[in-house]
Amino acid sequence: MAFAKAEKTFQASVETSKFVREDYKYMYAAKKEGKKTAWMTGITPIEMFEATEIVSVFPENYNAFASAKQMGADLCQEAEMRGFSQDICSYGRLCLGYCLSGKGPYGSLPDPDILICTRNACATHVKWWEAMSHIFKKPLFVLDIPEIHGVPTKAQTKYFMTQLEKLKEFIKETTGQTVKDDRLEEKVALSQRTSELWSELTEMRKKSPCPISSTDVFNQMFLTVTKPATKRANDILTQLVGEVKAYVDQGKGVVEHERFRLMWDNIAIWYNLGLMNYLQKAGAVSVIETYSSHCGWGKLMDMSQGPAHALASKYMPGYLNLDLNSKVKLMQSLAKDFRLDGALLFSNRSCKPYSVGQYDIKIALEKVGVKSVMFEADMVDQRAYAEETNNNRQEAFLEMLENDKSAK
Amino acid sequence: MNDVISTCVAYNAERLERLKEYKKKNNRKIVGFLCSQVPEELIYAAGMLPVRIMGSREPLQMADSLLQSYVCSFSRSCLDLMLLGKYQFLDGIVVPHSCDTIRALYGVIERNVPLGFTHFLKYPISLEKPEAAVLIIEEYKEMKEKLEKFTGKKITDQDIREAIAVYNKNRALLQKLAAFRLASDRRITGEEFLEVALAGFVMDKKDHNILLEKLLKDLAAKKPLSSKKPRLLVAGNVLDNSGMLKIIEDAGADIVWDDLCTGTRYFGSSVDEKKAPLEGLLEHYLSRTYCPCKGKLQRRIDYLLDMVKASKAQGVIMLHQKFCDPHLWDVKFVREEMEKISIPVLEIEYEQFAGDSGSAGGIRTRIQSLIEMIGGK
Repeated sequence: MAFAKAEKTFQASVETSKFVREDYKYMYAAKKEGKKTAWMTGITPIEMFEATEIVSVFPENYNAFASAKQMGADLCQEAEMRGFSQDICSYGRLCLGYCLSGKGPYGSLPDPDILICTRNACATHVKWWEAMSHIFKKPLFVLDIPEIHGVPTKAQTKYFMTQLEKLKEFIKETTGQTVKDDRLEEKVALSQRTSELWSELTEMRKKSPCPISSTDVFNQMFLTVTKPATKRANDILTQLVGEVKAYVDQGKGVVEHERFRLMWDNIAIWYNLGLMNYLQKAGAVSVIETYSSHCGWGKLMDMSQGPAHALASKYMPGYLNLDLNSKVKLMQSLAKDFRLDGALLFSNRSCKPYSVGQYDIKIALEKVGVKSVMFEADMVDQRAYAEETNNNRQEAFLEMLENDKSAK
Repeated sequence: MNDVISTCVAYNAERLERLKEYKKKNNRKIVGFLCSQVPEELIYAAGMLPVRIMGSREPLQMADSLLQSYVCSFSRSCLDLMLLGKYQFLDGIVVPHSCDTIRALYGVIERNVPLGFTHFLKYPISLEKPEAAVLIIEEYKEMKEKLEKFTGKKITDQDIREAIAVYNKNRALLQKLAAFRLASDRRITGEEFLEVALAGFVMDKKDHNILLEKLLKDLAAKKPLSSKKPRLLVAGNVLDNSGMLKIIEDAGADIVWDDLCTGTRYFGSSVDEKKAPLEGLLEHYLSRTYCPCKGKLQRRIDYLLDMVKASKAQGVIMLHQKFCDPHLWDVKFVREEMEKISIPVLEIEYEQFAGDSGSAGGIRTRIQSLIEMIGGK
């Protein structure tokens, strides 16, 4: 099964795609030169590693890339054939698929020297990274961040800060490299600039018509996830903000006739980003995603108490690490701020922290006048995608929104 | 069947009604909890009765409106019973940050089930870190304060010490009873043992201790059971009914040991009563954790290898709820290590309301193949 590709609107998206290709080239070359490689989970304080010469590798980013190339199911099967259950997270399966088979868009990733895992999204990350530590026989560091209820408690913040110090020691012990304070400060500042630009971008999406949709934003997440602390990310995002601002100034939207403003909830469906274009043809624009804007990436940090504290403010209270009541509150405020007509709730078999509780979110959105459609699929394993069922469901949803609009 | 065992079986079958009656008769608050990470002693010290929330084997009626089908059947069943009002006698709940599903389930319960008291233990996962211990102590203190606020009564160190003594006694008795499954001196089946252990989760530990003492005395006075069948170790998640163990033993094997959340993982160690109460609790809950939701993979593998050797098990059944991520992640690695010492591993996935029909036939056949493999050695 092959899905339609996403059509991006902005020139900056082309720049990002170029950056992605170059970065992967760099990773393999740097490994060959003998540089140390760290594999890290998606919401890791990358600023810390940017302050060293360590090559950072994000298997989840590569997963998204492989899935967009329609290789998700095949790579998942490679892991299943080797004894991993089909019911475990498909990000994990896909990754182990390329680790164990050597297949993938560029083959497997350059082998890790160290493994870094955070628990600010899921406990699954820890299981997955432990599995890789077992397979590669390489040291693992877990940055453990238990669920935040509203705001972190003092004890939770202390736990984070202590571990952050120990992460520095771990880096030193395993790679011989030092995270220097001035370098870290510099990288955190760059990262904050990325966050400022990202916030500016997000803010502009509140405009009607919406100038930029998920189609471009999901692509740009490469910058906020893996490269926030780089000058190049700053430059591309500056360009993007400029391009988007020009749309806003002209009153131009990403689609000609914006009919419905929608929210996307959950990870992107990487093999079917074309879905967004399909919806856009009907004037339905995904104007905001919890994934791009509230998981920690692109979040404005509290810079008042130094870099470590800034990282705590970014990496502790992301959407996936919040209690359900806080998630609901956030969803309801997004509904208001982005003047949503509806929400697309992607119920993701592979992501319990994102998906379990979505029925409550559906009910809560309804209470503030936002209807939603829930559809089940998987983020990278296209075998779990029932195209016809999902299309019918989405079409019926748009019809319902249309009827509601006509009745007003 | 021994009368204590049959008492437990009968009690388990109608545990929710019994708890309702208990509450009425004793005018005592009841607090439910999920996972064996919760320091029940604090709830007990607050004068309330801690009971483990468990599911049933009944088909779902309401939970599907709030939980997806890819959520484990245990969680769906627990929520279903709560939505149906079967847990109405609960005054509150305490749930720890364990697996992704239980963590999320807490939020769903909090929003949809009317309860006077809800508490989430923001528990770390890297239990081996010294800084995790610091955090847990703070979490215990927070929980204690919330319990005090709820009951309006201060929890003294003495209250906690008394609770620890009751719970330590319970753990020691369960350890003794668990050893009566071993082939060297087998006096209770795996199925019977689980029934007795399960009853302890839903009654006052003092009452359970009386039952356990009588049972141990009765069993010691009798002749051991014959023990010529293939010996199995069952490892898995929370098992809230003995149905699957019955299928295994009826197929012709003896379950001689377990690594279950409702089995040895719950009572495998005890609290040092000489320590300051919270410190003692901390040490206990850290040392007893071999759950796949916490701690390190290698530690669990080593533990299971030790248990296989100590119990002289000839095969391992990994018994999992379908969609139980933490356990599913471990299967491949546990299997590989067991194979190195020539211990066959059979993995069984089940959904708890599937009943004895449906998949049970297939499961029986697979167990029989395992037994034949062991028997043929």
